[in-house]
Amino acid sequence: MTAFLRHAVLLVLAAVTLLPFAWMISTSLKPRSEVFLSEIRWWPEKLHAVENYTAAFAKAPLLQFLLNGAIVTASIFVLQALIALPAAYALAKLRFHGRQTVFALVLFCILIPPQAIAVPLFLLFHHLGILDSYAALILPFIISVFGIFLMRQFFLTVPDDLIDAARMDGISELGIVWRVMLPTAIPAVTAFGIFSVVAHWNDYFWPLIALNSEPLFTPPLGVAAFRNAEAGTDYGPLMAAATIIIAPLVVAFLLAQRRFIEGIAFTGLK
Amino acid sequence: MADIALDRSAEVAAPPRATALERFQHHWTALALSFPALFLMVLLLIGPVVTVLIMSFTDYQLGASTVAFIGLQNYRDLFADRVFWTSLGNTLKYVAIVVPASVALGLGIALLIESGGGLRTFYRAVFFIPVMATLIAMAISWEYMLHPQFGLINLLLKAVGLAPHAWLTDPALALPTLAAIGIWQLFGFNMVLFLAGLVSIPRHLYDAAALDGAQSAWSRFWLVTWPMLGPVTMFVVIISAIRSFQVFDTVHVLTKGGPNKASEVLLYTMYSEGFEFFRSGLAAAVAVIFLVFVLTLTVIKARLIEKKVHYA
Amino acid sequence: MAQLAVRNIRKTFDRTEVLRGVDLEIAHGEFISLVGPSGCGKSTLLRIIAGLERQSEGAVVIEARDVSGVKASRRDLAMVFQSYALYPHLSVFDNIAVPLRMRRLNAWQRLPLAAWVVPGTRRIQREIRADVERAADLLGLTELLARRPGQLSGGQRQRVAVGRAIVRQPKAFLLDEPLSNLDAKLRVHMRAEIAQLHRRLGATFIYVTHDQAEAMTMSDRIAVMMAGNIVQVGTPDEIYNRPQDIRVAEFIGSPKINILPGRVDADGRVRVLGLALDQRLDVPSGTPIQVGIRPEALRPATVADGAWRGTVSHVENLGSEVFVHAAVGGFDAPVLCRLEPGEARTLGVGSPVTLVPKPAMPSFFDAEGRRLGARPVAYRQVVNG
Repeated sequence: MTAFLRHAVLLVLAAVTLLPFAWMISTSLKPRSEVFLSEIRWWPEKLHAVENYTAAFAKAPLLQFLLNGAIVTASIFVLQALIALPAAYALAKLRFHGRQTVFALVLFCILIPPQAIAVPLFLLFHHLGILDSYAALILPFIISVFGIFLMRQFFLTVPDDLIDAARMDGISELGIVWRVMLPTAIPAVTAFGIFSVVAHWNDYFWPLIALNSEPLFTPPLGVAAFRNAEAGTDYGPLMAAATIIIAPLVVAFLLAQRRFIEGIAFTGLK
Repeated sequence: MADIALDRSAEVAAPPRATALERFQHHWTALALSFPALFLMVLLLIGPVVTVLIMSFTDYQLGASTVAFIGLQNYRDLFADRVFWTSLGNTLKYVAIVVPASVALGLGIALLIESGGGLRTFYRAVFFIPVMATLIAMAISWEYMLHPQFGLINLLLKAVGLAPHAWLTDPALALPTLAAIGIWQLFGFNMVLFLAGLVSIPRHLYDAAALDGAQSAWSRFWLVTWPMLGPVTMFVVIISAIRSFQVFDTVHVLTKGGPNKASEVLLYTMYSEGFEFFRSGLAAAVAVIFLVFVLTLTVIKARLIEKKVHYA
Repeated sequence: MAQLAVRNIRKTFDRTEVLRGVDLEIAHGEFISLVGPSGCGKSTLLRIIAGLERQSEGAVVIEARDVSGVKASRRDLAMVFQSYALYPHLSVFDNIAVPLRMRRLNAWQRLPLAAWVVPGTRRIQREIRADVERAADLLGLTELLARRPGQLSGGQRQRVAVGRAIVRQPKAFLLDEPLSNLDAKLRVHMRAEIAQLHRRLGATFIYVTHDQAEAMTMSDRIAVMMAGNIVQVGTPDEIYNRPQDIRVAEFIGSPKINILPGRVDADGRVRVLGLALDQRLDVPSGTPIQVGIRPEALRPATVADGAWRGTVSHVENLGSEVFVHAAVGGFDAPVLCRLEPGEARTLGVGSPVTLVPKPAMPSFFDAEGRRLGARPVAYRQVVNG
């Protein structure tokens, strides 16, 4: 009885949660005549899927948006890792003058919400003349203090013996970062990667500020622009576009949901 | 052996030259490894924070030829502006709706999922999808669902005989509607944090509670689960508060702060001052106020983490 | 002559002095153990020899060359770590091959696919493979070369760690508590294996342990360290039978040596708990001294006269030997005596017992714990050590 009740409650909540997705996909299959109806119709009488999705791709460079998203998020993550891992290693495992200071700065920087510094960053990029470019989208995020903190915490758990053994084997300090620390930290790096990719794929605020030209738009910006051009006239292609934009992350999530949830929860709890 | 006499000065060769270099290298390796991070931290985080603070005391406008320090004038202007107070009030209202609702929902669902029975992974995944899905795209879907005439919500209301609403254009409803979307997007995240917290409660505590006479799930919850989840709950509350304080995407796409400033929030004010009217000084002042709120919350969070570490 | 020496090594961590001027000479091919309680500085000394830690003062000399300041990897020493320190992401083969690759291949040759591009790479890789396989064969690891460390037992991991050290044929092996993560049975087995390995390789071994049994069973010489100093260096026999310091006497030997309070009487004889021993000390009469008598140097007396009388408070029967704890009047700690199983058959808790020291020479220490030279009263005893 309790089990039944539990499932009943959870299923209802799940249905409500999924409603926007279901309605979005349902609408993306409908012809215009069935979009503007005064009754609830989940499955269209006349399936208009091909037309809507073709229209979506025709009216906006969706593939370009997705590609931009992939380029930007991948660049951000790779650069974040390249910069954060050596610093995290130094902070966790090396004794040097100023280590406390550097770590204190990292802790302070974690406190800074990115939106608060958007104005000066915008002005800096304006003066550098790099607004409205991939660089403008990537540069502000290549330093992840959160990533440094997270990786430092993980590196602290790597036994010192392993590092000493690597030194005896003749591996340089930078070599230790990539050949010893990185391979042992793959789970933590994966978690951080998921966190980073999800955050920057979905980011709207900074691209909105930094970009002007449509060919550079990231997926959120692209779908918002699509909607500004289309809304009120035809929801079918718009919902098709929205479905396409959320698809990569949601599909990736469904395929590796444990990793995603662990990644987000793990990075969220720190 | 100790009895072997050694002429040390003769026997020991001078250290090879390379060692001096190596010593030097050793000293600088650590700094070299952290230098890129340090440099970028100063350039892209600390520098801008200092700049935003300084800018908030100037009348800087993008493209203007002169800049002057005007002291607290930006802040005075803000505090005299009704829109700013509306914006701050709306932000706080939004936080006050989203935080309790998303925390309670997250906790409730986490408890239901953990209470046994099947389909755990399924439920967990379903409730987590809104966290992952691009909010802008989902906001567009919500917009259509909330459409006054053809939207699913109003159609459902009509179907059960209730009155439809103009969700996003009614000043009384716009902010609560955005908050509802905020809750929908956030509770899955909180649920995952609670699930992690629940798993870490030692099972034997429940056995002990049962032996001590806590027979019902209800009494076990109050005896074991709730106190053990205490730190996690505090933590989730703060994180939710920080996240909802940063509400912007839905406002920008769905209401533009309207109708009649009914959904104007802090970040939106900053955005329009800074990037639509290019009054950078004023935007900086809003940013500083926003920063103060978020910093306060984050410092509380950091304190909580420290405490948790000390407990362990 | 000494192959490896440390000269007046001092090390200070955050104003705490961990090593206070350590001198040690190690001969080529020697197996020397650094032994002492935790915190005595033995691991720090080993790490300074290895080059993983910089001494605050003093010099490390390897084959007549001062290597202070030379990187660990360029001292040509190999180390086996307590936690084995195997790369978790590499196979056993790769773990053993890493030190060779880092030495023999240059940065270009180490790149993936280099074998196809950079000349000479393949020949070197073949040599490395042969060397790794030889080391694996020596240690019985051939079957395990493809596995990851996570798939190995503790003993196997330990062997891989040794393999990684021997494959380089270094000037000396440094071993930092290599057996302490193994269970008791395996530890005894590996003790023998390491001793055999030492004989076979004929290389210098410097072995750090807190386990005096390991030090006693494997070493040519033992250096006992206490509070940042080497207190005594000597063969296991010297260390056991002629401890120069009461801390050495107490640290070496299990169960622990009995330390009894004594005094020198008017004619120079040592009196312990009312019993006059057959030894004289050249110290002023009445000087309080401490007398160390090993449990096996006590035996039950047939007559109660001239013996310590006590009551059995506890009996530990190990099968091959029996340790009897006796409460002796005038002394609050139990006195420990090792007996043959036959001798102890009649003893139970509460039975009266009389104990006398065997003719073997006890160790005498002054109030500060330094050894005092004694001579026998008569010449009928066999002087030991």
